[in-house]
Amino acid sequence: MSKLRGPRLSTKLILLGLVLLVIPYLGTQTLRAMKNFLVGGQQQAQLMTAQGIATLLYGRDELFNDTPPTLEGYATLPIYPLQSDIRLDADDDEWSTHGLTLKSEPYSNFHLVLGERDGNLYGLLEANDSTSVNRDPSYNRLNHADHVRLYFRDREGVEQRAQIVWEGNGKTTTYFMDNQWVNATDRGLPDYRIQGFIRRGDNDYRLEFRIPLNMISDGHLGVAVADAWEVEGRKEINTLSGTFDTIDGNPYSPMVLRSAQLQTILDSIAQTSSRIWILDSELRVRANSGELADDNPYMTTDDLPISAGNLWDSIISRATDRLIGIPRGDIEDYDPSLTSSRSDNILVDALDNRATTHNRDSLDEKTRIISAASPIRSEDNQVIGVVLLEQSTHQVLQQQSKSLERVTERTLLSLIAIVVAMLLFAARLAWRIRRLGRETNTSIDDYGRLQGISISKDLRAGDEIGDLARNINLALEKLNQHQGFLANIPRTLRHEINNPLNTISTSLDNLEREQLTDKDSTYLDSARRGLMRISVLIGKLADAANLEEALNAEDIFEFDLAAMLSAYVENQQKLSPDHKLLLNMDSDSVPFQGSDMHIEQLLDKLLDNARDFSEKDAPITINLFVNRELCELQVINQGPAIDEKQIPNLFQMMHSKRRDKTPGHFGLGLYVARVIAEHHGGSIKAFNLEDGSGPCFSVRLPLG
Amino acid sequence: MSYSIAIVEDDADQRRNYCAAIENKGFETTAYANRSDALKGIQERQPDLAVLDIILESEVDGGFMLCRDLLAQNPDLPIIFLTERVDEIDKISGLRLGAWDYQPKPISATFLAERVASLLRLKEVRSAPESQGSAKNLGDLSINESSMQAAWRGERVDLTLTEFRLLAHLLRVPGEAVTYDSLMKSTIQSYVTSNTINTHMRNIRKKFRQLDDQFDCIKNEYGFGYRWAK
Repeated sequence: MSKLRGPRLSTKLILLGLVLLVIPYLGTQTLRAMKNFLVGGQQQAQLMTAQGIATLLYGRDELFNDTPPTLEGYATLPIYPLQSDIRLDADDDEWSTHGLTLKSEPYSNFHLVLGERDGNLYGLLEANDSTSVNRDPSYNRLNHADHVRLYFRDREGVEQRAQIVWEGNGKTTTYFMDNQWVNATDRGLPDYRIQGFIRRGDNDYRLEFRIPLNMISDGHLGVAVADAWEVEGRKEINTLSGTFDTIDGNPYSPMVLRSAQLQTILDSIAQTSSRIWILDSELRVRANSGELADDNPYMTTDDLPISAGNLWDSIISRATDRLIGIPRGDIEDYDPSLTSSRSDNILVDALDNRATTHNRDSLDEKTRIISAASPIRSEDNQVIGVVLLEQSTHQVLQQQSKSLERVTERTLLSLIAIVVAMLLFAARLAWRIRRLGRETNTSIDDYGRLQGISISKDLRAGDEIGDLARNINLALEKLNQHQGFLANIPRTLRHEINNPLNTISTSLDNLEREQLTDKDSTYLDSARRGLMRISVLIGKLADAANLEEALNAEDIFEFDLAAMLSAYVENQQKLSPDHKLLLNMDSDSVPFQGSDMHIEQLLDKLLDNARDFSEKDAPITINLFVNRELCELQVINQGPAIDEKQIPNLFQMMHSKRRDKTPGHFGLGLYVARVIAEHHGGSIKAFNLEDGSGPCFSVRLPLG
Repeated sequence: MSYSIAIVEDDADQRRNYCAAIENKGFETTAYANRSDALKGIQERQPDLAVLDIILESEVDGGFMLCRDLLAQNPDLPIIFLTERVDEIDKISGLRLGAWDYQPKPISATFLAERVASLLRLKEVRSAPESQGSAKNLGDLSINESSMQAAWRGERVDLTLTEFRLLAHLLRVPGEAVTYDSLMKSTIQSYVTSNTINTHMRNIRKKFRQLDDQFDCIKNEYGFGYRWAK
């Protein structure tokens, strides 16, 4: 058979099913378009919001005019411009008129708020301290009392340490200190440029101080509060807390100029998921509010406890987030508290009186940020500042992610469902086809004879397999009729031929009694010989055709196959000594159930066959091998090998490959042998011996 | 007095040939083509022997039916069947129709005429007990070659002519094996195979076993022939 091509039915169906994968692909395409649409919408909305805020600030020149003339290089921890003078009296009343409270700037152990007016930096500080230790003027060392430390660099870039100390409520004294904060430098003289005022409460104290901004060179400052109390008779500094993280590290923080009024306005319109910046005409940050995205924009799957139910969700969600590109964790971008100025292109455009939007990457390049900038105009239409509205695309991405999750989930579920359905369908289809094939196969035996029609399934099915089953059934029925017709041919033939033969035969007999010449007698003899041959042919054919019926009528009884075989071989050797018969048996007694007459017939046929194809005078070997379940009878002759292609046909009726076409042989012998072997539940086969010495005919018969 | 032979055969050519061959032996023949004609004619004039074909026109078992009817009227009427199939020998035997002999087609007209003659002789012998001659005894078996009858432990075994010939052939050399070829020749039939001999032997055995289910004197010499075991 030529090589089969193409995959199995189920494989084909599954390959076809892969076409369904185009659905999620189309889904992502749609989502991409949706994302662009949403981002565009967001840009427009942001621009409108920015313009709205800009309109709100229209003409409010005064909000931007409080900027100190020489702000370049100054930037403190948040510094709010102060509109009025501050009296150093440790009172927060001037501060609160600017909307500034101590609560707004908490540090670990104290509150601090910073303001700017006329080139001076003002600070209001409130520290928790239940054990008041004032400076004892009798000591030169300054490290035994409560104090406030200021860290900064002077105009030469030299690090300076200023310590504010006090001996009780009222004015404070400031010394520049050595790097151990133990002794004052400058021969122990105080510095009068830095002034302060302290007032103690029961468990705290409040300090108001002032320092000229021109003492600080690079816009960085650090403030620390040292708390002292008495331990075992000694007064010592026991805790130190500052605006910086660690005492040993860098104490400096950049200062950022902020507008308290703008901040107040912004806080009132603050949005949860967008950050609003207001910058002046120099693009310095004056106020901001809001966050780029919600602190907890959505429940990340990392936060969910993993259970069987949401494991699926988790996998889907992770996959879609990755697909869409939602960053996990915080967004790193401009920190409002550390940013003093911005120089984005859209801000420059806004200064040029153009309101635009722009998409950019965040500083960590993980998130897209939509920016919208709108100019703030004065009454005479000068640009006095810029509103910058920034929002991450998180929300849009989140929407997209959720949609994609749904699309993915449903597509996957339907894909699985369809694939399973198709697999089941394919399996069922393949099973039905296989069953039909099996039924068809069992209907016909190895020799192509119909064994009875066994197509019973699918005959009533309406589909193509049903059609196929019906067609096969019809074909088998026709074959059955034809086979019945063929099987009856020998019988019919005998009946139909025997009568005219009988006429000829009896006529010849009668003719013989007439007075005949020698010539007539010769013809008569020829006619008789011809008649005899036809009779023999018809007789053998009919016998072979009727063999199965005859076998069925035969009584089965037990006899000894080994004894029979040895007697048989001995007798045959006596009758025809031409070929030496070599008998090998591995058992002396083989009880066998069957018809001895027919087993004898089987042996006759095999031996006839072996003699006919044997080399002249060559021995014929007969083997009988026995095991518990079956015995194998082999008849081996020395002669030409059988053509392998002919082997399947050897045991068919009317198959003869005899060299000499001996009259009386019609290719029935091996057919008869096979029918007898099969009737006894056995089988027969032929093969060439591997050593090439000749063919072997082997009959296997079951025992017991 | 010349014997009268009834011949029932639906084929005109064969019928004429049978008649010619049998008349040549000096017998009178009456030929019929079908069962009803034969039944009517034979009732009018009883023949001494009947030769019956089995298939008569459209009646597949016409010969068997006719045989039964004829034997009902005259149980001693010798009947020869002409059969077409070896397995019909089984049928004849199985039906126990009481036929004296059968000849498979194609037959030899000469053999047929000889058989007719020998059956008529046999009939004479059997109907005249004093001329039966002596029976030969062989253990439990007694066999009378002239009346062509065999008995087992005194009981008659109802063998056909062919079966008797085969048995008698075996008994010529009791205890020795007789080849198939030799047995075939003894049947005096034109076409016989070892398979036919097997069929006959089985039937003979069956008939003995009906009288004695321990009967086991007919032995198959595998690959050779048969033997009468004493």
